[in-house]
Amino acid sequence: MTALALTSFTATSAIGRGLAATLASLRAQRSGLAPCRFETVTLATCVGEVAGVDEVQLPRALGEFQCRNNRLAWLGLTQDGFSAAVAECAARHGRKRIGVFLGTSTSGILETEMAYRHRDPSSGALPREFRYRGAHNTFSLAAFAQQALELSGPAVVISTACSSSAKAFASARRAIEAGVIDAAVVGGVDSLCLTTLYGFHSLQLVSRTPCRPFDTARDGISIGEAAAFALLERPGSSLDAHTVLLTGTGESSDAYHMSSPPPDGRGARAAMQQALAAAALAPEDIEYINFHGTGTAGNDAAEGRAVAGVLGSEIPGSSTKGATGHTLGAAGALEAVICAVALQAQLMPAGINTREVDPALPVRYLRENRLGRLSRVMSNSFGFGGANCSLIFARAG
Amino acid sequence: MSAVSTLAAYVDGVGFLGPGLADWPAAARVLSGEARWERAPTALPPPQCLPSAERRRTGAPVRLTLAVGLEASAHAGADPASLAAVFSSSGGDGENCHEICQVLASGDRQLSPTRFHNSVHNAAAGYWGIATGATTAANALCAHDASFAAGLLEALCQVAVERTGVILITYDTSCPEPMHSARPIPDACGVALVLRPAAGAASLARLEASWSAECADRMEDDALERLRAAIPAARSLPLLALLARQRTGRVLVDYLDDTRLAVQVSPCR
Amino acid sequence: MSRRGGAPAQLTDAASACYRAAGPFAWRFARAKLALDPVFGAILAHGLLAGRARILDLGCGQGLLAAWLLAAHACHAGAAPGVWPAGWPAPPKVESYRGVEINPREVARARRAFALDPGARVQIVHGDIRDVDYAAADAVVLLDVLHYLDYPAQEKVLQRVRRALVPQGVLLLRIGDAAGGAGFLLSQAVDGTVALLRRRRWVRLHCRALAAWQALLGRCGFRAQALPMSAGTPFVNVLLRAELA
Repeated sequence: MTALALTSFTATSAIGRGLAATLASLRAQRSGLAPCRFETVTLATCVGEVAGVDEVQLPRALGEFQCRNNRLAWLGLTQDGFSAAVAECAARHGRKRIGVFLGTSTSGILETEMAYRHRDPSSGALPREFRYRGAHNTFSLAAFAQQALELSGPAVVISTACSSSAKAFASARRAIEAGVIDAAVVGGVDSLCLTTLYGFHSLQLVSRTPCRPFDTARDGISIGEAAAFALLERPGSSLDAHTVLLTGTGESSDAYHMSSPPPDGRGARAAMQQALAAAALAPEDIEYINFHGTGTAGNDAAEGRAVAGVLGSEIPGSSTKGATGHTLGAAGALEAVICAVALQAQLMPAGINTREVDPALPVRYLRENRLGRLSRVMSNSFGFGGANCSLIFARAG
Repeated sequence: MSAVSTLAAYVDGVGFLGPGLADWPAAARVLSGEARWERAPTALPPPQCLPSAERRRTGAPVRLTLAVGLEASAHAGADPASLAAVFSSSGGDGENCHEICQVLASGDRQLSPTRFHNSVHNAAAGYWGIATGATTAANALCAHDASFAAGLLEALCQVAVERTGVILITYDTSCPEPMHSARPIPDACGVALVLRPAAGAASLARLEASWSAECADRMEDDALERLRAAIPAARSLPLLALLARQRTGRVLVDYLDDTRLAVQVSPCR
Repeated sequence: MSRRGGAPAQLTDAASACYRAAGPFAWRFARAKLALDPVFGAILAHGLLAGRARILDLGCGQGLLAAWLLAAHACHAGAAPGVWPAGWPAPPKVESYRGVEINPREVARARRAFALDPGARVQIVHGDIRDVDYAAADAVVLLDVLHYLDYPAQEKVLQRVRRALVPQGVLLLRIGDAAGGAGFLLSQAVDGTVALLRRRRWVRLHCRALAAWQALLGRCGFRAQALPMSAGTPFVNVLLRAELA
């Protein structure tokens, strides 16, 4: 596959608004997880909430998209000069030649949940303020971003649960390679809502304490929210040693069960092998792996086995969900940006909150940050319904 | 990897299920003018190929997508497990979403775990994999009313770049009140296309896609035009009509506000 | 004083400033486009619109040309001392600019940007250049638009432009691919139709070889010359300046 450059990227999550704050938290091995005091949730759990989302003001022209998810999206888009980079890219190639590929699992469903609490007592109708197209619909995130960024090329939301925004990179890459577009805004946004908090709770997959991926005593996920974006383009003449490239993507399905992976992690294995093949790399070329690492007994075990089977047990890795929580549809993009930050800062981030790495998992799990030469990393994302995606990023120099 | 010069693919198989249109042969007869469209509620068959435990947990979208997906695969003579899958829907499972929101609005927020894992937009894709054993990549897209064109675009890019066979399954189902008033999709409708990079014995037609700013094509028949406009998956009808008539032509498929997908259709037989 | 594309950065900044009113990132786009596209610098450096007060811009997008000319005049008139490049002739003093654009979002951006223009010199018409009326004009500008129309429509538009122009009027016509110039190739086939490189197959363009464009302009009553900046390139971004024959 032809490598593509991430010419601009940004992330906003519980560990900070924008790249500088995110990197500072990673360097300090700081977690953004805290006991859940969100909305009317009474569950005993921890979440990675982004502060101040409800205070974010959308421009009046984008009022039809008003909802927490799009406010978080706007907060993300306005960090790190990302939107300015998109505007300049649009000036170079034309607005029609920039695609929008974003992932989300719940979109603006929080507003729908609230609307259901305010149905008309006699007719049962939803309140007049309910916005199906602008907020509830899964596509609203991409429609919002496209309008906000003044783009007029193809746009789509990819919604495959926890691998949504990782798969967005793969779809965007194909569209660029096919000549449909010259560049793409790729990313993901998911925000806290009752559906996922109570839903994962009903599956008994949520921990009461901050999640501990790959820990012997791990007992579930901590849900987080995030907005992460990258501008993908063919590498141009302005390539320098610091430029981060997407060099491989791999996707597969489990065909096993809707909410648990096969214990041998064979779907995950296939996705990773495909990514390596696309990048024309051998397993030992990968220097760090960012695990999907949600902190559930089943996921971490399957992933540990799969990674060991493909990359061996020596490659250092960690899950950053101990810091950010599991940001669901945004996880793929958030962790891609964390990998990009890691490559530029030459820092392998620790898997925090993990106290004792499960000896049954044959991986080299980092519990402390490690500084040093880093040029090729892999990031995994696996979703409900068995949608797996593995991405490989590299430094240009 | 060699540079891609066109976004083209061969249609090897079609599946269809909609109001008063029980399968692709029935739809093709109506679209080619051989038969009049008799409007009737979409008749969803029971879910095929799923183990009984899974069968009990499925809703309308799974029954719809399995039906059209399996029909298209059989039509193409393809093992569904050999095809990558692209699912696209403007709304996923509206009935399931309604049930979840009702529970969350009540005093007792005990969600059914099955309802929760069925609420992901790729639930139908997940069940497809379980039913067919397909471990190939499966995507699940949403582009609101543009979901058919968005799915077709993704499928064509996969065919062009990965040189692989792809099954595109676009579907919509209606949702109950109170959501129905906000999103009045009248009935379920699904279409499936098996697309391949090279012509084969089963190939019906070659499709080649490009952009256009021209208006989307409408159906000549008023009733079918109302169907095309009312259900996003039925935005596929003008393209399907060309396939049914085995006619060469160019069809403008509805996409986003400023752009339409122009598809050049050239029959193989 | 830094330059990109030959024009001073201060001029680009001044010209794009009005787009801050059009949306959070519209001015970034405008600034980048004004700096990257060589046609803007060329119009001023070669005095292509000198002395023309009434401008008709067909397919005007968000009205970048209007913003450019208004800022150029202000800059030259002393609003920014030392910025105007030595050797550049005086820019036109635009009394009225009428832009026609079919895309409603571009029209909205343009209207928001020029809402505060004190002289109300800029009018943006939402319409199709094949249908709207052309009032009398001293200059007509057609940048990267004609190849989106089919051949008969191209000829009709040029005939209407001829009728709209005053005797000393000028037509500025750019043909070929203006979006960065890459990926667009003309082959000089006998009948004037063109093959396109793979990326541009995504858009249907009705193009002609340069000689065919000049013949068409001749038929429509123009005498045209290709501009020095496009010499040596038989295809891509050819800027033609035409007067009435």
